[in-house]
This record gives sequence, structure tokens and C-alpha cells, in this order.
Amino acid sequence: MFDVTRWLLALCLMIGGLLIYAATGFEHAHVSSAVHPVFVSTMEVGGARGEGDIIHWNEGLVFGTVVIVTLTATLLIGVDSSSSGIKRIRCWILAVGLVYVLTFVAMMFSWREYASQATHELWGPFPAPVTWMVFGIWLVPGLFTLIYVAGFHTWFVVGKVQEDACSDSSESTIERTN
Amino acid sequence: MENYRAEIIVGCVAIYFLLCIVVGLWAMRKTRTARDFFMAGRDLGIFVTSIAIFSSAMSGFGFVGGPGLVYRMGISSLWIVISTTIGYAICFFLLGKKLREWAVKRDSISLPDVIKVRYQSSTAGVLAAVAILLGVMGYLATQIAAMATVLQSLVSGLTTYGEVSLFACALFSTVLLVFYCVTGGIIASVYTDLIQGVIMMVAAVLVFLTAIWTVDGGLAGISQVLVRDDPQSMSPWGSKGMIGCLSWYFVFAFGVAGQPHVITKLMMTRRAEDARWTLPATIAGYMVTALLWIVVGLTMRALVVSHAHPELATADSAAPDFLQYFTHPILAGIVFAGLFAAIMSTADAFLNIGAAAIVHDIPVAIRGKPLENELRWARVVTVLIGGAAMVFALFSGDMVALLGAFGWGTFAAALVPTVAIGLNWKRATSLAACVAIASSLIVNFSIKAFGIVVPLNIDSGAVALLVSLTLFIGISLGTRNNPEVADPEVADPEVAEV
Repeated sequence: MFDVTRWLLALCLMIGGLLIYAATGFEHAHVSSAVHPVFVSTMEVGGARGEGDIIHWNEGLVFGTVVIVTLTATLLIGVDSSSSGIKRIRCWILAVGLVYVLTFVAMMFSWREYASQATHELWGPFPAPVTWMVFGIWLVPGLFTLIYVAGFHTWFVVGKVQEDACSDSSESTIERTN
Repeated sequence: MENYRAEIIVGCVAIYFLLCIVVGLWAMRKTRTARDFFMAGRDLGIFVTSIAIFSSAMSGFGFVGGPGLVYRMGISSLWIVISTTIGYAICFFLLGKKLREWAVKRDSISLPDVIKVRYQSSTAGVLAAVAILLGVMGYLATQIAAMATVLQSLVSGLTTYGEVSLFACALFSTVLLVFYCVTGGIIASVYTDLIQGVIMMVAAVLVFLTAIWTVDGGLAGISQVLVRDDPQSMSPWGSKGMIGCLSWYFVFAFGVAGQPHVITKLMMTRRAEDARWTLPATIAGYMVTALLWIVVGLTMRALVVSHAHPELATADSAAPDFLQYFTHPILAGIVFAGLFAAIMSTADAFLNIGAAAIVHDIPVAIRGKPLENELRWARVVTVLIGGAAMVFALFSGDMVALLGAFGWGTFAAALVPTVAIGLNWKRATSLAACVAIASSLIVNFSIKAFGIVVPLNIDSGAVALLVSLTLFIGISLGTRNNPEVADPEVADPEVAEV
């Protein structure tokens, strides 16, 4: 038996633990956002929090990875267990989850390099880490959508369930009450 | 044409308002039962459903607050935008089939209805209805306040009319909103969403193009200006910081599957198979409209730091100022219509689920049966909720902001475990559902009401979601199920334990 919800519980506890560790262990945990030196009333800059974040790069990497693994694990709950191709869909979801995690890891390395540079080259329209974020982390989960579309009749709406769901009840209790 | 800028903008908005009224009248003829009123007769196609879903999610916050956040914090708030691809995937993987199936098999017309039947617990149903109602009042009041404020600023540009009070604008906004929701119920709501969604997409693309032409070098030029000013604001974390941004990603990605105004649309589709193409269509629509959120904030920040534009009065002026000073009047008119569309598409959905909570969910949970003539009561209550939200928006001060901010996190924490996980997991118990919903209310409201500052800018909704998810799964594993709940006809068994 592969009980996704037990894994989800473990991941939630891990996220909770990491948040408590960050809130109590990071030296800049209670630093408020820094105001812009010129446009004081409406803009903020990275300031001390941004400088502190790079010191805790490892923790950020672990936290982000656990969040992405949690999101990926949640998708597995929605796969119909009566499907004969259940193992195959699970493999596909985990494979895309791995790409998703690797994209986040790439963004983290790119950010570490960006933070250490005095001058910043753009990578496309944005600095490299933001390019990873926008074109990677935003778009890679789109592969889950491809899995959903491609495997819809195999893994999500299968057999009798599909027929039942399609046949709307003509005997509506609500209609009867009106 | 510049001399008639205000008139052109108001004209575009007036045409849009007229369209809403026409749709309301048309939908009135199609609304004959309470099921039509709350569930659109379960007859929505792929295109209408997907546009209704993304336009409900992209509220006035997306068109005004979003660019304001980017202007103020740099890249930080893009984590909210980019969470949508995984967020909608979770929503459809877990609920695309399940909610439609429950709506059909059990004739459920609202989420508390589904929760009550799923857990065989009136308490869980009432708690869910209360959580939804509290969130709805806050969200609705903030949408009406936003609509009235924008309308007042537009009308004040017309010299003919002089000063128009905020009360008059709020009254007009509420009457318009309530009119098409009362006449046509959710049918009017989703078909106005269709118009609204199309306007939002057109507006977003046109504004995106205008914005990148406004600054030399386009998006790359904007990035260069901002990196020179403060490299950290153009890093992935902006000024919010790493853990804060990741907590946003967590709560917004998970939270989509708990937003009642979004997921109830999944109960209204014509066929279960429609969910297949509704998912990519929804994501595509959201991504297009999100262009406005991203690019207007960055453009205005670049223009201000390079002294090409004076500092804004408030960060939320980013979008209105951009439209006022950098766009063609007709485009500004279309985008302002898009802004009203964004506000109204969210507000009408809330009006409908709020009415369902009062007219259907709470009476059914208490009396065990629906009210007589539910449709008439639904119309009456829609008017009352609209009026109450208007009064609330105008006279309750900080309470509106409090409940507005309370909305997303509460919905996520209350409904993701109980609906998204619970409908797919037979071991979920009624005790766990009640505790999860109660904890979402207590944690969220305590953090907001007592002004608790969560370190590292961690989102309070993320804390509440984490607590409710952990409690829900933990308690379900530790308690026994009500035998009726395990009925395969009520809940599909063995889905989580694959």
C-alpha cells in the first residue's frame, strides 16, 4: 500500500519544523522590510533581510524543495486508484516532480551566483535567477497539465465513474422543492 | 482625443456596465430553479467554465493590488502569480472529477452541502458555511469598496458632474452588481464572467505591449534600470525575503483548491470530460491576464527610479497612474472596463456563494431540508448580502481590510483539507473536518485580530493551512470513521491509498 496522505502528513510536519527553525534561528528573522533610500513612502528594497537570506541559502534550498515535493505528492491523491495504469501515472508525476525540483535548485544556484556578483548580466529579459523563476518554476508545472490532458480517460475519469458523472440526475430534490 | 480622455474612459466603462445589465436580463429567462440560480443548471461548457474560473480568481487585487505589490516590493509578489500553474493542476487533479460527481450524485449545490454529506455531519456543514460566509463578507466588501473608489475617481474627471460622493458610487456599484446577480443568479454571473474574462485578457495584452514600449529596451531595459537601483529587488525574493516568498508560494499553490468562488465552478460543468480541456484553458487565461500584474508594476517602478515619473502617492496607484499617463485614452477605457470586470467577476461569485450559504447550507444543516421556494429566498438574500456588504465597506473601517485579508488564507485552510483531500481519502473523518475548519478560523482570525507579526514575513494563511492540514490528516489517522461515510456511493474508496 502506498499511502500518500501519511507522506503528506510527514511533509507538513517537516515544513512546520523548518518554519519554526527559520523563525527562531535566522538572525534576521525579525528585521522588517527596508524602505527605499529615495522613495521612502512607497518603495522597499532588499536591505538586511536580503543579505541575511543568502547566509541561509542551504535552509532556503531545503524549504523550497520540501514545498515542491509536498505539492507534487498532493497531485498523487487525485489519481483514480481503479485505473490499471496507476503505476505509470505515478512514475510520470514523480518524473515531472523531479524536473520541478531541479528547476528550483537551478534557480537557487543562479541566485547565489547573482548575489555574489558586483555587476549583473541579464539572461533574456530578466536577471538569470528571475528567468529561472518565471520561465522555469512558472512553466514546468504545466507538464502536470499535459499529463492530465494526455491521461484523462486513463487515469482521472475512468470506467463506470465516468458514465455516472456524465449522467446528470433528472430527479433533482431542489427542483422538487420549488 | 486627449481632451476627452475622461469622457472616453467613462464611455467605455458605461458600455461594459450596459453589457452586464443585458446579460442579467437574458439570464433571468434561463433561471427557473434554485439549481439554475446556484449551479447554472450544471450546463457550462469548457470555454465558459475556464474563463469563469480564472476571472473569478483574478480579482481587482490582481489588476490594482498586484501591480502595486510589484512596484513596492520588486519581484516578491510574482510568487503569487507563478503558483497558479501548480495550483490549478492540484485543483483539477483532486477536484475536477470529484466535485462534478458529487454535485450530480448527491444533488449538492454548494461546498458546505458536499461537506455535510461527505462527512455525514451537520456541524461540519455549518462550520464550512460560517467560514465561507465570513470570508465572503470581507471579500465582497473589499470588492465593492474598490469598485466605488475607482468609479469615484473616474467620474470626478468629468467636469460636468462635479464632485460625486463615495456613498453614491458604492450605491451604484452595489445596485448594478446585485441587479444581474438577482435576475440571473450564477448564470448571469458566469456569462458576465465570460465578457469580463475576454476584456481582461485583451486589456492585459494591450497594456503589456504598451508598457514594454514605454521604457527603452523593453523588459530588458526595465530590468537593467531596476538592477542598477537595487539588485535585491530584482532577485527572486524582492524585499519580502526568501522564506516569506516561499510561504506565499505554498499557500497560494495549495489555496486555489480551497477557494469556493473557484471550485464551485467545477460543479457546474455540463460533462465530466470537460475538465480535461478546462484545466489548460484556465491556466492559459490566467497567465495572459497576469501579464498586467507583472509588467505594470515593474514599468512604474523603473519609471520612478529613473525619474521619468514622480513618486506615486501610494503603491496601489501604479496601475491607475500608468493608465492615466502612458496609455491611449481608448486603451485606458478598455483597461478600466477590465478593472471593473476583474472586480465584478469576483464579487458576483461571492454574492452567489454567500446567498447559498444562508438560504441553503445553514437551513439544510439545521432543519435537515431546504427552505420552501428556495429560488425566491435566494434572490431576497442576494439583495440583503449586497446591501450589508456595501454598508460594511463604507462604515466598518479596518474590519473590511481585516476580513478581506482573512479570506484567501481561511478558505485555503478550511477547504483544502476537508474538500480537496477529504473527497479523495476515505479515512478522513468528520471530527477531523470540524477541527480543521475551526482551526482555520481561529488561527487566521487570531493572527489578524491581535496583530501578531509572523517572523520573516511568513504568510499567516500559510501557517493556518499548515496547522489545519496537519490536524486533519493526523486526527483522521487517529480516529475511527463513521461507517456511513465509507459508503462507496458517498465517497470513492481507496483513492489516496493507492
